[in-house]
Amino acid sequence: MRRALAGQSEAVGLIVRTLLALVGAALVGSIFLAIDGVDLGFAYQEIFEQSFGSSFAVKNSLIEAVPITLVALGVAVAFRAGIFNLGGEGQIYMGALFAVLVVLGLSGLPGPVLIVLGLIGGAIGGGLWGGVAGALRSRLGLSEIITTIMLNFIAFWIVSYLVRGPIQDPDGAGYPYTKEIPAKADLPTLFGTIPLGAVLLVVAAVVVWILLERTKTGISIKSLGAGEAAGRFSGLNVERTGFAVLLIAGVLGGLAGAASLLGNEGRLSDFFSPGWGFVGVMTALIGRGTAIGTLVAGLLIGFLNNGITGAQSAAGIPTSTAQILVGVFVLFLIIVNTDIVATALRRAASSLKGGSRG
Amino acid sequence: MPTLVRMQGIVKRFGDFTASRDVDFEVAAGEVHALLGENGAGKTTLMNILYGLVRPDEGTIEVDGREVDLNGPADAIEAGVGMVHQHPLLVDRLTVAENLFLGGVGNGTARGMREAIAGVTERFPLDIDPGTLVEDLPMSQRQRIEIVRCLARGVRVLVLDEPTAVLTVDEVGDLFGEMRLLIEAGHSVIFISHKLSETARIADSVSVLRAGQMVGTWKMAETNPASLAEAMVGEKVVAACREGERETGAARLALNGCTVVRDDGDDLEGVDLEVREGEIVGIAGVEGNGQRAMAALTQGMARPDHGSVLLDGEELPPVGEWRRKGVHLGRIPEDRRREGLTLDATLWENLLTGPQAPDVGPVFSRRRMIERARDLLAEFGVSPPDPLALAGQLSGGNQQKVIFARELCAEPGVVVAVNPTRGLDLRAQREVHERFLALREQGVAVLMISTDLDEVIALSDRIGVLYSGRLDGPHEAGEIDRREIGLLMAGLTRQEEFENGGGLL
Repeated sequence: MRRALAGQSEAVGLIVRTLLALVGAALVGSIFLAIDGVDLGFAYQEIFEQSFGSSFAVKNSLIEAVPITLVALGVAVAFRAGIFNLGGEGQIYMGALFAVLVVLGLSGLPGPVLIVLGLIGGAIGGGLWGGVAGALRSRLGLSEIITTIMLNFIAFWIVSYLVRGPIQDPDGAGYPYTKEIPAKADLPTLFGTIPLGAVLLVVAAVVVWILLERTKTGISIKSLGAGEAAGRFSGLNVERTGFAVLLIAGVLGGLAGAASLLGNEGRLSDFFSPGWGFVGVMTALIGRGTAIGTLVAGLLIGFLNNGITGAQSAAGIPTSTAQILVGVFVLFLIIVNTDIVATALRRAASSLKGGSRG
Repeated sequence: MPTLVRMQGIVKRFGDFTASRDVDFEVAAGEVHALLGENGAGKTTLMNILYGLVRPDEGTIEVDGREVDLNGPADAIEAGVGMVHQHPLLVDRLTVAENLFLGGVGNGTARGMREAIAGVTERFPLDIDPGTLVEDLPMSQRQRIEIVRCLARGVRVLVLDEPTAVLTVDEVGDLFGEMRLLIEAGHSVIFISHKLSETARIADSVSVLRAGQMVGTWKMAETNPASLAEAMVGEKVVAACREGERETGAARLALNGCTVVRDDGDDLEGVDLEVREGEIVGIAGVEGNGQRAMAALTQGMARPDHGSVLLDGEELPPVGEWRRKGVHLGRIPEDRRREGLTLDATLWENLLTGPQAPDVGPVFSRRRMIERARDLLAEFGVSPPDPLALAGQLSGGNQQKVIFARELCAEPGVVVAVNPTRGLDLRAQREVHERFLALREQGVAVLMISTDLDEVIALSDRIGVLYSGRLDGPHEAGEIDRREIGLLMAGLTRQEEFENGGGLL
């Protein structure tokens, strides 16, 4: 991960391996499709059509990519520091909750202002959730692997409670969701193809890239990931840096929730996220923990996901088989990056053993 | 007494490095035999060979008169050799009894194992509730469990690998009592250590290793700590050497009555020290006598419990504040791979860390940082000066030069180095020594804490000796000789030596 793109030959190798993974996944996926009696040629053509084939398809693919990639960037930043942010799911829910409260509460304000405030609210909500994990880690030495997962449950059940009571849509026939946000707060789509969330995504990736690759803080984060001794010797406040990293990760997760709420979902429910937080972990690994890699991986998975789910009805692919297909693609992409996964697991083990103070 | 273990002509090479050079080593039945040597002298390698963990390239091993071929610890235990590691290899989450049964003792049945353990504890009491989890026990009791486990497997020779390093003073006393019990029961104990005082207390015989070679074996009654100290550190030629006297200037770095109590026992007690412009002050001593504490104090990694550390008369702040407060002090850490460098980061990145790195603004240009790094690496003799190389790929000598480049690029007036040449080859050692002499010429105040007595003597204008947390000196280099330093390292003052008749050597 650390010098993933250090040389050109390495970059070429990475592209070749990724393409091989896609081909391999398509071949293995064909077995499942064939078992279901699906016309393979038509199915893959339809998947392609549904992900890239029209500006509508591209728009939907990008919308799919936005929450996955934003939350994955948060995972990548933390991963650089040797910290495991498995709390994407909770950060998404808290981000979306804060965003929906802000937007519904201030619905009299003009649209653009609402959008900005909604996104800021989402960042604060997610940041709060990441920050709690960060504080528990740096103050008490609790492994973030445990706390972020636990915080996922807490966030989910807070939202679940609220959308079934205090902020439930009174006209929603009892469904567990909030009122819809006013149309003026919807994230606009540029040129009919590019949702504003995708722009936000690229901006976030560039900011993360600058932070990690072009600032001294980025180098410190890296030294923290390699073990704390060098960081401490260089005068780094290891505890504070660990806290800040989880805070940043939370902000990105919260943005993922807010952007999805304002850009697509329109209302908060307790089935708001179909597991983006966990797909984000995979995405960050496939992106080899770098900002640009995560951006590319997130887009790839967004397009794949949207293409496969979109092709379901036309190509007659059963829902479960479609999910298997997505899983096969992700698995193959992980397989060609096993070195990173191995590093990740090693760090996870040492983090669990020693906590942050080790 | 009959010979129980005989190792002859043992040679072991790791790549270019020879860890054991034609070593002969014999242990008699019923004795505590101490194996002394500095870190890296080859003690652990020799014992790993005896325990079957490492295969020698040449040489033979006999146990109880029979030549043995050891392919692993199981063979060694079969032959009657057991080893107790400093951090015993027990499963923390299992109980004492479960650990004792682990791997099987006696005939392997539950009853057989209980009987085997009971047979041992009759002679060698365990005094620990067998239902206790190992993780709840202090280190001394864990060691005792491992000793019992070895005995239950019929081991006759027990190797204790620096057991006292992790024990408190009282626990050391208990351990020594246990060792005596073992001897009375007819076992032999090989006691690995670099602590002279403990060796003198417990050992019947002592062998000294230095740089992979056996210096000699003595009956403890026929030798003394001072001559053992000398045997340990030896004498070797250091190429670079301090020449001429220097006008030293003002005191730059000072420790005033510094006392530190540390978890690892590497304490300091009321240490006073001044390092002046244009001089190298060398701190000698056997490892574990306060070097870590002194290094941490002077490198901004810890504060004294009592006393003060002053840089140019001002309290030295923690290293995290150095950049903001403009503190210029170059630091060469003891562990260059762990503390000094981020091994899986590039050199240009490593050159940007720490308080001595330049201010590069909020967002830097990667290209410019790489150019800067290339110049610095070339200036400090890193070859090849490739800023994109990963620090972990470099040789020890080159790694040390990268650290010098980072720490000295801002031309600090004070430098604190800890074991700066440990693990380096001779050429790299000489380059480091020449670097220190150049700093001295430039009027830099250099504090060098080193367990390498040769380099302390060769480079230092003044020499202090740490023993048990207390600092003797520093003395002018001309007023103290190697023999006297050796005595001080062994914890004897000149006065004591005088009282002992002075003619021990």
